Amino acid sequence: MICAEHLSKTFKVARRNSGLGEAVKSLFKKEYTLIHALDDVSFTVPDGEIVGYIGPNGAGKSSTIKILSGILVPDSGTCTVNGCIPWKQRKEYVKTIGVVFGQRTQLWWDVPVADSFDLLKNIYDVDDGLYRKNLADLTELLDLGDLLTLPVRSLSLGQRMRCEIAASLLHRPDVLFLDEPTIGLDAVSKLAVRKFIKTINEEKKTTVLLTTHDMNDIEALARRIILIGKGHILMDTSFETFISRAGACSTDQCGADTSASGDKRLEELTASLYTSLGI
Amino acid sequence: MMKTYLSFFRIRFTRSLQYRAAAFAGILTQFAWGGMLILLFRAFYESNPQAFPMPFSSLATYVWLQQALLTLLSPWAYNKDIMDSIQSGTIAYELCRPVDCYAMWYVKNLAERLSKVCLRGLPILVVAAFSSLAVTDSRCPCRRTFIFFFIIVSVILGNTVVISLNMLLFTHGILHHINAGNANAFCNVTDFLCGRHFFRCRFFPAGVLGSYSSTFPSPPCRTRHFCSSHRVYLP
Repeated sequence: MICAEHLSKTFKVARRNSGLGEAVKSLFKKEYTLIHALDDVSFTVPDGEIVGYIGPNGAGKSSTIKILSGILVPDSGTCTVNGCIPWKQRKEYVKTIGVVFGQRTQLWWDVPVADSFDLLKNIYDVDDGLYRKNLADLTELLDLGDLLTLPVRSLSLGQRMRCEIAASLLHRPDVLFLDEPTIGLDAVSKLAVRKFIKTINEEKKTTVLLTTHDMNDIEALARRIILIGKGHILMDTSFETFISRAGACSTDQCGADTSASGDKRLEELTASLYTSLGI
Repeated sequence: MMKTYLSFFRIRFTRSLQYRAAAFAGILTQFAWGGMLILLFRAFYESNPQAFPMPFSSLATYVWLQQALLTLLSPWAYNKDIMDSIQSGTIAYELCRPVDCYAMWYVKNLAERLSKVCLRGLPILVVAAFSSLAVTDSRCPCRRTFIFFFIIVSVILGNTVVISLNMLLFTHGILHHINAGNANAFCNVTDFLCGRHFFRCRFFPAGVLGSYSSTFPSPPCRTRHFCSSHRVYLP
């Protein structure tokens, strides 16, 4: 169970105008601006649910994931995941969660994937028998067979992402945070990743919080959507309600485009909703 | 927990072995660099042996030990992956591991340094040791054992200090998001202050950094005999 209550987080960022003069001036006097990444964010996710956490770039999705995984400490508010406060009981807590950051890698670049997996096994102190079983399951579900003996640098993005997801699940976590896991993947890899997420949710009852810009991921996986914009939760509703509200906004703005294909339609509807909400 | 830290060593060694050409090039570079340093100092010795705090043979020993143990004792030979991960944001993954971050980075640094010493330093030590057969040392064996013991102790303590300094750099990196230039400046200052270059300070102009060179007093000169005066000396 994930329970976030009134989370707020502000970042202090240096700011200056372009030009050499401004660069020299900033050497002596730096100007800062405050960015409110999260402002009073509250939601609850029951065990075994897949929730799509969406919003435009810079909305605060990744900041929320980082707070929920114990990496960042919020300025105010609190949250509990499986009864733990992530940043206070970090070491015990992170054993129970898995995190995938789609734009980063947790695997050692130069060595075979299996070596990185072995290291993670020791870091998470996974029992030998359980590790072998988990690895066999993940290898089968994500079709990793031949990839384990290859150095990470020689893998394609799709292959690497499958290995990244497997790496985050070797210790069999109860909760999985996925931060843009399908970014940059081809259609086949996206389908494989989606199928895998659905399978582990159904079979292992893993709770999944998924952030993505690909609405097809959401359509395929999540029955519930939380929409965040400029640090505020703007909508917490079912996928169907989200689409009907987006459809209404789209009709208001430019009339429904009935000829658009499914993928395009979803993207256009989402964009219309973002525009109407001013985010 | 020990198993976790040992696995950092294992993966670091595996990674080092992955690039044989790089390891071989590293060995050659250090041989060449050590040789050049000794040739350079020989020229100074020939003009004024009194300028040095130690006999030439001891200096040769010092240079080869320095080359062999370079990555253990140089502040700049830190684990660049950690700094890169801080700057790129990949640090997020490190922070969601169920281990103490300070201990994990300390061990990663140690593993990086030890793996390099094993691959590059040991061949230098072996060649230098065999070459030392050409040099006779007038000191008694027990005294030499005593010195050897203190070298080991000082290397361990030096390594502890150097990695601790690196940890300050990483901590500073996380808090203030420093760039490579800051890191290099930090490493150069700490490298200079750690005393590795004390014999070079003898050549600074009088009055400049006098307190630095006096921090490392000259050891008493000892007698050594060389089989040839026109070769590159190895200890």
